[in-house]
Amino acid sequence: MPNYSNTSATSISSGFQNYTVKDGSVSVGAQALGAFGFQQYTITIPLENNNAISEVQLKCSLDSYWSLVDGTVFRRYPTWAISNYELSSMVYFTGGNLIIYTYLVDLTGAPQAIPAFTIDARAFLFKAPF
Amino acid sequence: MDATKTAISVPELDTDKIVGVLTGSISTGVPASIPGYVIGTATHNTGFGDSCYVKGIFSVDGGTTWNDLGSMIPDNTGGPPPTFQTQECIWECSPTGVVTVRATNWYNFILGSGAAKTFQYKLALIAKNDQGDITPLPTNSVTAYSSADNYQKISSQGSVAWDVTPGVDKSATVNHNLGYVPKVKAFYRKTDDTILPMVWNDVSVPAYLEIDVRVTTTQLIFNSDGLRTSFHNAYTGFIDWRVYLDA
Repeated sequence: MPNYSNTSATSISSGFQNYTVKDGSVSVGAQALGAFGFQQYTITIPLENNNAISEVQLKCSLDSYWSLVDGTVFRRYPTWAISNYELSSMVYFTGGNLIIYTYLVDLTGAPQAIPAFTIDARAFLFKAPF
Repeated sequence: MDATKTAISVPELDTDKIVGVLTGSISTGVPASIPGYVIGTATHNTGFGDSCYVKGIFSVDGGTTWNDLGSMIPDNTGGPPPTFQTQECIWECSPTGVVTVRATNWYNFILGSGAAKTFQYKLALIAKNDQGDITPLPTNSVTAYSSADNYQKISSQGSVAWDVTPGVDKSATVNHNLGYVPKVKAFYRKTDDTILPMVWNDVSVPAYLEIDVRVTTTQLIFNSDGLRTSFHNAYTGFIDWRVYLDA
């Protein structure tokens, strides 16, 4: 346990203060992806303050779960009708916005039919302890 | 301080404990096409004598914009496709509490150029699940607990054994049974008590770690994709996890 007996050096500290929760999403129609084809999608969430700590969860409509994005998340979807497929996301702040950048890459080397899907994002923002 | 004359209100629900805040900067030179990157590091000896968790942000534009550690801003110049490997900042914490921040400045192979970058970073150190007897670093008033504020509240925490075998699919499940999708944190703890984020790399070695954290209304599911980890490294250790009541 942290030892707070030396209170001249520190005060009892807490975890992150809840600040706000914001949502965003992007919907993608069915498409044909070329061999080693690439598509990119962006979810932009405007923020009042980009000097914050964020924790983001993403859910693709083809998944039954939300994914924690600890900076970056890489996911492959072998359960899709098409195997060897990558849907990856990364999170960053810029210009007062939280950007969730997702790209879809075909790794099979052959043209693929991609079903329609939606990516939902939940961004939990905390007051930065800095 | 005379504890018998001090009144204090503490929360019924446990919260994270921020045990230190660190800031710094790392300057990196111009990357060349070979090896394709320049790495700079900074270390902070917390004096804990024990490892801890870390969350943080970094900036490569002088503090105008900040990004989560582990993320990279794609560069769309000259694309598509964009250049995904641009500037990256990763942390790790040694068993004795030395926090290393590693900044990787990548060469842009689409544009055929590189530029020197200065990485600024800010870290929050968080007490781990089984934190030993440590003395937190002096904090500022922003981290001091106040019953007037709303904090992430811990519902449950624990660890699961997780040994990584490159190229092998792996999965483990923890039941939280909250009935909704909660906030979570997870960190990788090697058997020597080194703490890493769940997605981590050191390209100079090279060494890689990649574990998904999936959340449902009843479970945490940790997953490692064997195809993606085929060129990664073997590790022995645990996943430390925390589920919060907050959603």
